[in-house]
Amino acid sequence: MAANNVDIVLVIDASASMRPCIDQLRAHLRELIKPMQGHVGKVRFALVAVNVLSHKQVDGEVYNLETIAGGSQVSLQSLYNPANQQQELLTENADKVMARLGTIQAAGNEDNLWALDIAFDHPFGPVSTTKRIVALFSDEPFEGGARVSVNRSLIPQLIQKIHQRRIKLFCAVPFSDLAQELSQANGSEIEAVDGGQGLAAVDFRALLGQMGKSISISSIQGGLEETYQRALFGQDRMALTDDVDRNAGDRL
Amino acid sequence: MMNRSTHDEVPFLTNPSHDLERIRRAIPEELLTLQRLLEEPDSSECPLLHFGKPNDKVAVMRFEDVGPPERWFFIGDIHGDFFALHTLLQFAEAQRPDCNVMFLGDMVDRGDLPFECLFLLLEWGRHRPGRLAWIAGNHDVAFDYVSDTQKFTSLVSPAELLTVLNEHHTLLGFNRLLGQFFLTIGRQLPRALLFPDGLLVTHGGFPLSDRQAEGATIDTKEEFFRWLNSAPCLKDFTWTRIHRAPKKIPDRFSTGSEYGYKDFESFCALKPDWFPVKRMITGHQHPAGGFIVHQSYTVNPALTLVGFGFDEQRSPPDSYRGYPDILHIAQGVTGELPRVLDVPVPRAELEMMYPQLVIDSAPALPNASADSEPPLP
Repeated sequence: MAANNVDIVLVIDASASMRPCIDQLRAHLRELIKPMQGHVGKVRFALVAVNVLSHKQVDGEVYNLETIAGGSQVSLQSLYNPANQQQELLTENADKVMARLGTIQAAGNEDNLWALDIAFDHPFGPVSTTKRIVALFSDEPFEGGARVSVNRSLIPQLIQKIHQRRIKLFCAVPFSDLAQELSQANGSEIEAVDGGQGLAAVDFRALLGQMGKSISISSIQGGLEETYQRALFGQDRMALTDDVDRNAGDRL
Repeated sequence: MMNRSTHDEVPFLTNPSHDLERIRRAIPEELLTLQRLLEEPDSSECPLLHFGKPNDKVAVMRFEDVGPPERWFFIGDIHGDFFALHTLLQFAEAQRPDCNVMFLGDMVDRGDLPFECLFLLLEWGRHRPGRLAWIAGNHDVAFDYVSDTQKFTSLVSPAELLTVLNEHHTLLGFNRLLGQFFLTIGRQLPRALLFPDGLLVTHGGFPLSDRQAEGATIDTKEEFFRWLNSAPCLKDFTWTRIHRAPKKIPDRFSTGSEYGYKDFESFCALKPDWFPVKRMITGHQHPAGGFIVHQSYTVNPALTLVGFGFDEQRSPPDSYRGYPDILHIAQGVTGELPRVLDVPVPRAELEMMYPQLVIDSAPALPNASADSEPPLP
């Protein structure tokens, strides 16, 4: 019998304080794969790194998204406009993921619910053969994010999407009411961590190893792919930062 | 017909390697005997206990049927680990020669000797009538047979038993008989049993919050038990998963939706006069230490127990490297959660059974307090 495959989307709050977390993830990413070796088939990674910058030119907040495919425009085109040229969003090449992690510039604010929705919309492998994992790392509670007062009303729809897409969600975030609300999704695990300082106190080697073990022993129950609502936050239409100075937010 | 209470006329469990060979030789004949006996679930010779009305899968047990909880020993998921099942059965009998055994389900998949486990357990029950109960695990009821393709299918993945049943062509005919026998058993097994003192024995959980809303509207006891025995509720008893969170939203796109401690509290409070659940023992999950007393379940306590000892991260027989020094069984305690007992692993017997392995010594598993899961803040 063919082994099950695993698709893992790493969601990283790329706000200003998160450089230590990004470096730790880069250093220990292979710990995530180790427990799965010989136990699952193909393992593919995707990356969703998000920060929100203030910017005078667009009179407000500008969302910056980095994925394996590239910057914001390329990533969103690949995710939401399949008619256009599509770049790879998931890769088996862990070195490519680690290299991409090294290029992420931590700056500005976070919007973790927005980032999660981007991750949930990824083109995972077939539900009957693929364990679909989304893992979020942030040193700020969900309540601290940009536009949280608007976005929190969409949590029931995010949970619905987690269920429809058979996603297993891991969140290493400071515990909060919104985290608890999100933890009501089936298959979600909230690892409550100390806030601030880019998760400097977290033992990433142990955390990723435990996550990998949990993924490797989890089962797939099969079933059919359900229809679901994409881009809950309208992110396919949002203003993006590829055409503005990345450091603008720091200056404003 | 066997005397229901004597201990010394049964085939004693001796050495796992010897008993494995004995069981293997006996399977063809034992299959025919057991098929006949299982057709008469109310017969005193039936190896498996049934409670309630003939078709009840969820029932309240009466004290006169089950006796004191202390006589009951609970065995968690076995998943084809013959050595563990043998060791645990032997241990239970050594503790109490008149012991009753309740298996929490999941006989097959993952491990290397699923049918040997099946026949070991049923032989134990056949020679000790009235003393064995088996709650269905999801792996026990996930199988089906498609006559068009002449293949077995499963709702779970990975389902290693499918490989045995569908791909061993040299034994295809007999394997088909074994598979169909296993299907028959799975359809007969109870899904949840409630002890008179309020202990719910279930593989996965109980009807989740959306189903509970339906149950709350029921006015009569008879209708309530009909609801408990309805297909959607039976599915929840067998497939749902315990979680440390307060609440979980039922995921009806998945068979294995999780629940939290407040969901369990609300189930206990649903109809306390008719189905007075106070605490729960489950299988299904495989906590690393062999069991978990779920610390966040404070109002209505819960325990999850594992029977097998191999490393499920690896494939057999390599999975028997680093086998633990201690397995776990739980013994009933009136008015409390069953007490988890350490079962020492007879290492020489393990090495005799798996001589190709260099058995590494593994550190002793932590005790209940060390292994308990921290509650969410």
